Amino acid sequence: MFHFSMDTARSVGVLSLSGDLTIRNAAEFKEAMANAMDQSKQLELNLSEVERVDLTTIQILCAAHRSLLKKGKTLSISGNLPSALRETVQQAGFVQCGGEKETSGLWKGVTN
Amino acid sequence: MNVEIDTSAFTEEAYELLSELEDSLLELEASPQDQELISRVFRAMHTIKGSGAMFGFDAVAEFTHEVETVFDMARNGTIPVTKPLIDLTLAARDQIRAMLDAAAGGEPADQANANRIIAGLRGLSPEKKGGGGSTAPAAPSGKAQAPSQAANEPHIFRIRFAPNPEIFATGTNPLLLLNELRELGECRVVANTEKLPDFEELDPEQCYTGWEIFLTTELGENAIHDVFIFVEDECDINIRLLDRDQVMRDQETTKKLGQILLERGDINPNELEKALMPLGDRLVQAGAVTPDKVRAALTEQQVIQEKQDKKKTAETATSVRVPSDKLDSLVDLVGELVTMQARLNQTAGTIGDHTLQLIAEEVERLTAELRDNTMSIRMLTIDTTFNKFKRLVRDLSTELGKEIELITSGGETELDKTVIDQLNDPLVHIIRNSIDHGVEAPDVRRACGKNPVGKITLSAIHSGASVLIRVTDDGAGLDAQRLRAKGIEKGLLSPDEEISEKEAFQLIFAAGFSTAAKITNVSGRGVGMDVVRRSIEGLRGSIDVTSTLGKGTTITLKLPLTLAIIEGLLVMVEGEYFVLPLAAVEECVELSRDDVDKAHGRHVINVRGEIIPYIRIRSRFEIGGTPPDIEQIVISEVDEKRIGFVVDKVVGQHQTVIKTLGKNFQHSEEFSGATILGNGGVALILDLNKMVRYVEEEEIRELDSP
Amino acid sequence: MAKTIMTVDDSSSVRQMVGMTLKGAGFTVVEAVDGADGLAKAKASTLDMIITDLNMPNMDGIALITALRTLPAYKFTPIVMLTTESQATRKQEGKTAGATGWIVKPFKPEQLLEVVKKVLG
Repeated sequence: MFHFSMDTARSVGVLSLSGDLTIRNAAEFKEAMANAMDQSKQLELNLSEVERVDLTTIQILCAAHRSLLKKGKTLSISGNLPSALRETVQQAGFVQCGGEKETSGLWKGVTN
Repeated sequence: MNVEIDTSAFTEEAYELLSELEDSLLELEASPQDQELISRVFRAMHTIKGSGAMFGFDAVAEFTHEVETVFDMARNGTIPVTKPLIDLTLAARDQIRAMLDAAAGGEPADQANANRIIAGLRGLSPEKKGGGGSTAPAAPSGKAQAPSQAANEPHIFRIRFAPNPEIFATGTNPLLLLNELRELGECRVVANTEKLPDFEELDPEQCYTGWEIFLTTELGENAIHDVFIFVEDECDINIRLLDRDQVMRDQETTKKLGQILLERGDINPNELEKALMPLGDRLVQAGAVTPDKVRAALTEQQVIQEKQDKKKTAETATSVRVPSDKLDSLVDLVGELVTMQARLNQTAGTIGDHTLQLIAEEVERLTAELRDNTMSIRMLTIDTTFNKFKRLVRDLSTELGKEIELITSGGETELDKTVIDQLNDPLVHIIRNSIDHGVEAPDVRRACGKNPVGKITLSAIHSGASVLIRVTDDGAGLDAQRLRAKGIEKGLLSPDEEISEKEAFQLIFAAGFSTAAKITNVSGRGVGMDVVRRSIEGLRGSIDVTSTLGKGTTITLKLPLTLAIIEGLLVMVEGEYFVLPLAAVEECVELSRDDVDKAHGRHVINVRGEIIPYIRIRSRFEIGGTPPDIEQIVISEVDEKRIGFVVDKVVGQHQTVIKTLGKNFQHSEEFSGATILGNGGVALILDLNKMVRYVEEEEIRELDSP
Repeated sequence: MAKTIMTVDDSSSVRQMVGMTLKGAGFTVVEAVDGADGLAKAKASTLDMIITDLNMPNMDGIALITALRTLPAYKFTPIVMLTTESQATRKQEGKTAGATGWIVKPFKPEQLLEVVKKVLG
C-alpha cells in the first residue's frame, strides 16, 4: 500500500502508493507521507496504482506540498495521475490550487 | 423510475399489527403506566401510517396520523393514558380495519364514525386547535418541493460553503454536494484552502476546505438550499445573487484613474505599468488577501463576464422582424426554383455537355441549401402555443371546480409556421375535452385514491420527418363499453357488431359523437373531435388515441415538419407520375406474375415471411392499360401497418414542391397535392393514410352488401 | 461492483419497498428487522450505506447510529434515518448521533433514490 525507497542515483525519495487512499486510511497515509518527507530533500510520489481517493487525500497532498516548499524541499508526482485523483481534484476545485505563490503546481495537466 | 409495488405486503402487515394493537391496548388498560406498552402502540400506529401512505392508502394514513399524534403525547407524558383514550384508540383500530377491508373490496368504511373518533381524540389533546388544521402527512424533504421561484432568466449565484471540520464523521462527502450543484447549472468551483493547517498539525480526518461556487442557473435559491438540506445546520452556507453592475463599475474606475494620471503627466508609463500589475497580485503582495481569495474573485469576474457576453450575442441575434407574407412568397419562389432546377438537370443531361452538367450540379447543391435555409426560417418553436394553454387550463378548470396542473415539455420543438398557426384550434379542443370529460372532479379523484390535482401533459417531440404532439391526462380514461353503447345508440354501429378497444376509441372521431352525459359550455356538444380530425388531416397529419380506463387518455397528433416541400419517391404507372412521401416508404420489392398467381386472387405478397397487403395504383385510379410482367411494390408504413402500393416503375427520389389541388377532381381527397416535374409534367402526391382508409371502408361496404 | 445498502426497519412492508427500490436501481440490499439485528449484520458484512428507521424494538435507530459510529468500519459511512414530521427533535438527536441525513415518511421510491444519490454519489 505504502512503499518508500531512496533513488540514490538521483538522491530522490520515492513514495509509491497503491489501492484506496480515502478517509478510512487517511491517518496511515499521513504517517507514511510524514516519514517520507523527513527522509528526502526531494520527494517524488508514484500514484499510478492508486484506485480511490477523496477530499482528505487532496488535503494531505496539498498540506505536504506547502510544508516542503517552506523547508526548501520539493514534492513532485511522477508518471500519470490516476484518473480517480484527476477527477477528484477537478470536483474539489483544487485545479489551480498550489498555496502561496508557487509556480510548480502540483496538479500538472489537470484542467477545468 | 416507476416501481410497481404489491400492496398485499402492506395489508397483511397492517392486519397483523392491528391484532397486536388490540392485545397491547387491552394490556395497557390494565397497566396504564407501562412505557413499553405505550411505545408499542405508538410504533404500530406509526408503521401503519408510514407504510400506508407509501402504498397509496392515503385515507388510512391520514386517519392513523390522528391516533399517532395523541399517542405521541402519551408517550412523552404530555397526556395520561386514560380509559377514554383507550376506548377511542380501540374504536380507531376497528375503523382502520374497516378502511382496509373497504380497500380490499368490502363495505365502505363509515366516514362519520371516523370523524367522531378524530374529534374525540383531538378533545384529549391539551392544545385543542378548534377542530384542528390540516393533518395530511407533511411533504417529504428534498427536491420534492420543487423550487417555486424558478425564473426563466438565468442568474449567477455565489455560494460560499464552509463545512464543519467534523463533517466527515456524519458520513457526509462534501464533494457529492458540489457534484449536485453542478447538476443545477453551469458551475465553477474554487476551493478555499486558507484553513488548511501546516502538515504537522493536520488532522487527516477533518475537513479544512471551503468553497466558493459560481452557479449560473435558471432555478431559484430554494433549489440550492435543497442541495445542502442535510448539512445546513452545521455548515456555513451563504448564497448571494450577484449584482453585476456593482462589480463592473468598480473595475472601470480603477482603469480610468491610471489614464487620467498619465494624461496629466503625473506619472510615466513605466510607473503606470508597475502599478497596473494585476490588482490581485498587488493585494497578495501587500498581504491584504490570500491567493485563494483572489482566485475566487477572478472566477467571479469571469463568470459574470461570460454571462454578459452571451446575453449580448443573444440580443443581436434576435432582432430581425419580417412580415410573414414576405416569407411565404420567398417559399413560393424557392419552390419555383426547385422545380426549375429539376428541369435544368434534365436538360443538361439530354444535351450531354459536360460543362453544363457541372453547372447544373452546382445549382442543384445551392438550391438544396437555399431550400433548407428558407424552410428553417419558417420554423417556429411551439412554446408560444403551449404557453397560451396554461391560462386556458387554469381558467377552465376553475370554472368547472377542478384542480388541474398543466405540464409542458418539448416547447423548443420547431414546426412550420403554417402548421403551428393551424394547430391552435384543434389543440384547444383536445385540451378542453381533457379538462371537461377526462380529468375528474377533486372529490371523485380522491375517492379513487388519485391525487386530487389532475395533470394534463402537453408535449412535442421530433420523430423522423414528423413531429408528435401529445396531450395526456391522468383522468378517467375512455370506457370502451360505454363508447360502443353510444355508437349503437347513435346508429354508428349495429347492435351485434363486435369491435376492438382500439376501434371503440376511434368512435370519438365520428361525426355527432359525444360521450359526456352532461353538456357543458366548456367542451363541445359532440361537434368536436371529428372537426379536430379533419383539421389535422388537412395538415397532412394523423391523430391517434390510447387510453386506460381509470388511468387516463393520450391523444397523439402526428404532423409533418413542413407543408411546402417534402422528400418524395417518384413512381410511374402507365406513363403517369405519382409521388409517395419518402418518410413513409420502407422498401421497394418486385411483384412478378408468379407472386400474383400464388396469392390466388388476394392482394397480398409474402415479403421475407411477412404477409403484406397491397393496393394497385393502376386499378385504384382506373388508369387502364396492361401492367408490365414485373411490377414494383413500394412498401410503406401507414397507421403503423405495412402496406404495399403497386406501380410500374420506381423512378427515384424527388424534391417535391407541393401545389394544392382544387376540390373538383375525382379521388381528390386521396391526394395531398401535386407537383411539377423537371420535364414540365405533373405528378400527383398520394395521401397514403386517406387512401388506405377509403379502400378499407369500400371493402367493408362490399362485404356488407353482397 | 454493486454497492451494498442495509435497510433496518421493523416494518416488513417498508423493508420490502426500500429493498425493491434499491435492488431495482442496482444495489445489493441487506435487510435487518431492528437495531440489534442491524448492528450484528453491519459487523458481519461490508456496507456502503445504511437506511434505518428510528422507532424500533430491541435497539432503536438512534442507538444503532451511535453504535455504528464507534466502529472504525462505519465511522464515515453514510447513514440515513427514516423519520416522520412529528419527530423534529428525534431528527436532531439522530444528527447528533452521527446520521448523514434523513428521509421523511411517507416517501416515494424516487425520493429514496435521490437521497441515496445525494449521500452515496
